[in-house]
Formats: sequence, structure tokens, C-alpha cells
Amino acid sequence: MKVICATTAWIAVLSAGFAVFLFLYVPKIHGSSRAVTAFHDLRDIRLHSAAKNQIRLIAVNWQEPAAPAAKPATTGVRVIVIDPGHGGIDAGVSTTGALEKDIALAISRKLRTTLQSRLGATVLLTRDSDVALTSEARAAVANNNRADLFISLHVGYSANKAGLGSSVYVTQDGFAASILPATEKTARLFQPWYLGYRTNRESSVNAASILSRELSNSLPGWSFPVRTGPVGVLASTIMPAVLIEIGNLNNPVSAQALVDDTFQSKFGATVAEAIERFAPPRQDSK
Amino acid sequence: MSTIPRHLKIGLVLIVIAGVVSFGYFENVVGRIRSMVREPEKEATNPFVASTEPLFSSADPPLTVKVFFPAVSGPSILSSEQRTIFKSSELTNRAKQLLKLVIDGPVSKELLGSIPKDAKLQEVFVSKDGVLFVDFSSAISVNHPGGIVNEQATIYSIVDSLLYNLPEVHQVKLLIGGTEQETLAGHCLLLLPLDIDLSITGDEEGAHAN
Repeated sequence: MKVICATTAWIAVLSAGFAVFLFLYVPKIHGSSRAVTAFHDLRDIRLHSAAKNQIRLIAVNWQEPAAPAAKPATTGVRVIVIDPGHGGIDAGVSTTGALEKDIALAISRKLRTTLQSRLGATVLLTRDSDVALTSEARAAVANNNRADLFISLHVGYSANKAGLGSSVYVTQDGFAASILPATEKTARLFQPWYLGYRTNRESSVNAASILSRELSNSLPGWSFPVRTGPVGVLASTIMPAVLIEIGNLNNPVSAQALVDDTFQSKFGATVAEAIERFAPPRQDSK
Repeated sequence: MSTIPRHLKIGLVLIVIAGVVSFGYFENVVGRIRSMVREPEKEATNPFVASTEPLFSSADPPLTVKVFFPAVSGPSILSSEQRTIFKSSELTNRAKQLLKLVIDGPVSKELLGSIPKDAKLQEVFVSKDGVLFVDFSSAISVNHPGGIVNEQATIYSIVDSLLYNLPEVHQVKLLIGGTEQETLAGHCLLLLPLDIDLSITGDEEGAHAN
């Protein structure tokens, strides 16, 4: 009887030890295994198995309510989603001492502060840390939060070292149109989600034109032509959406400007002015 | 120690043995979890072997084509230069000749190469509905320096060079390492077949030269 009792006691001790081991040690092997405490839709949770010991949560599309704006929105644009390009294992353009993902995040944070204070808008970032996101997950942040404007921020690269290489992109006209069902009879069970951009393409082109003009005028020597392309992060958005590519990290002058505090502030102020022109001041408040 | 009854001693020995076995098992669990997580780091061997079949015969007539490359300067992302291939009867062989020119780069110094270092063409095949599938090795993505303009230049130097010169096909679907990828370098969507886009070139007068 005593043997049985002693054995049982030891097994209990070992089991407890194993439980503590599993609780404390295994999560470290898996990397960031954080509990998701707030979400409103299971579709919004995506897991991504990345290389290098990481199994990480890459997107929770719904965000915690943003800090209240300092003042009521002064333009028709109440909610703005800023998307800092790349992140996590995807560094984007990488030159000596500078990574696109870090510069895009730094400029995005500064732009958030500027837009909140100048426009009184609610401003959300698709990522506020160094994490990887799919294009669809980024678009979903804007769609799920009913954004009035989506701005994806990137940094450029050109093999031509002399070029400053900036652009404002919108989705190319007719992109993905060939996957539209020809008739109701051929309608598919799962509708392609890359056609969201069509709902507001005209407004996107308008926003891009204003941003292009304001940025080109405000930043001497810089040019931001409007371009079109099959831009993944813009295709699924259902609001005016643009991608701004700033500078050329292969150009020393451009690379220096991109990490300069004054340049970043001026860029943010100019984008705020452009949004005011895009969505004129409103009389009512939300 | 001598006061401990014999059956308790036996029990203790058994528990120690069980503990050692359990510890070893748990250690294996850790090892297995680690190996599962680290497994993707291992480079899979690419089983693809390039075909050695000739892309044209001596009887095939020469054919002048337009091949698109990134422009060094100017408002257009791409510009073209005239090159020559041989008009083989096989569509995919003509496509492969065009892609070889794109990979090898431009002759003109006003143009830049568009395909990243070490990227190789793995295979080309065409579907019944006129979509040309072009499969590049993963180096086209891994070695790409990035930037949306640069990425668009790489993609459309391939797409426009093929669709401008091959009237039999109307879309190009790019595969990387034999599979679909969302983008080449984080910007341009590759999940759908792409149409010709001459708006980014200086050649908007019309497609299909022949």
C-alpha cells in the first residue's frame, strides 16, 4: 500500500513538473505565442508559419479602438488607415544601414501624429511593430474599420543611383476584370476579392493626383508621378486607396532625407494638406 | 537509510527509473518540436532539370521582336529595343527565346537589366485558353532588390515582351519556384494572370507587332 502511495505521489510530482515545463518552456520554442484577447470575427485571425523558429500571429484585422482624436474630424475623412510597407521577415528594400520596413514604420508613426492633430481624424496603422502581414490582411484592416482613406507607405529602390524615384500608385484600370463572371450563370461560389478597388477607383485617382501635386510642390527636387499597377495591397480595398513610394534608397541624398526628422515632418504635413484638399472641411462633426 | 523498509526502497528505485525515462522522453519532445520548427530552414533540392532540346531549327526564319527593359531615365518605366529570334513552330520555344533575351539583358546602354542575379527560367507552358505560364526559379524573388517601380519593371519586362510578340497568348501567369506567390517583392499581385500594359512603356501605339 505504501509503495502504491509513494509511487502515486512521485508520479504526481513528475506530472506537475512536466506541466510547468510545458507552460514555461515550450512557448519559448514557438516564439511569440500570445493570446488573442479581443476580436470580433474569426475570419480576422491569420497565422503565419515563418522561418527561423517563429510561428507568429500576423494579423488581427480588427483593432482596439484608437485613442480618441484630439478634436472632432475637420474633413470628410474621419478614419484613415496607414499601412507601413513590409515588416517582419520581409525587410523590403535593404541597403547598408537602412531597411525599408523600419523607415516606412517611422514615417507612418509620424504621419499618424500629424493627421490626428491637424485633421482630428482617427488614424490606425496596419502594423505598429515589426511583423509580417499579407496584402489582404492589410486591406482588411482598412475595410473592417470602415476607413475613408487608405495610404500604404513604401520606400523605393532604383538601379539608377541618380534617380529620386518617388511615385503615387493606384490600382491599374481593369485589373483582375478578366476574373469577373461573364454572366449570372457562371457566377462562382467564391467571388474574387481583388475587385474591391473598383468601388472607389475614381476617388483613388483623384486622391493620388492631389497627393502627387502637393508632394511634388512641397518637396523641392522631388517628383511624385501618379502610376498604376497591379498593386496587391490596394486591390482589395473598398475606399479611396493609394500607395506612396518615397525616394530611392540606392541614392545617397534620398536615403539621407528619408531618415531625416525634418523631411519626415514636412512629408507628413504635406500629406495632411493634400487630404484637406481631397476631402474639404465639413460643417458637421461626427 | 537502513530504517527504510525494503518495499519503499524498491518503489523509490522504480520512480527514479521512471523519472529518468520521462526526462529523456521530454527531452526528445523538445528536440522534435525544435526540428519541426527549424525544418523549413533547410533548402529543398530543386529537382528541376533544364531541357536541352533546341529552341529552333535551322529552317526557322528570323523574326524581329520588341523586348522591353527598364529605362535608365524618362517618364516611362520600360522602353523597348528590337532584337531577333527564330520563328519556331512551337509557341513555348518562341516564348523561351524571348525570355532568354529578357534574362540576358539589353544591348542599349539607355536600358537596364530587369531580371535579378541567378534567376533562371525553369519552364514555360500554355493553357488552352491562351494563358502562358512562366516559371522562374526562386532567385527572381529572393534576389530582387525591391521597390514597387523596380518590381513592376521586372514583371512587365517579362509580360509585355511575351504578349507584344506572341499573338497566340493573351495573358501571362508568373510562377516562382513552380508555385504561386502573392507578390514578387511585396507589391505587385501575382495571384492572377496579367494582361499586357503598354501604358508604362513608350510603346502605346498597339500590341502584337506580327
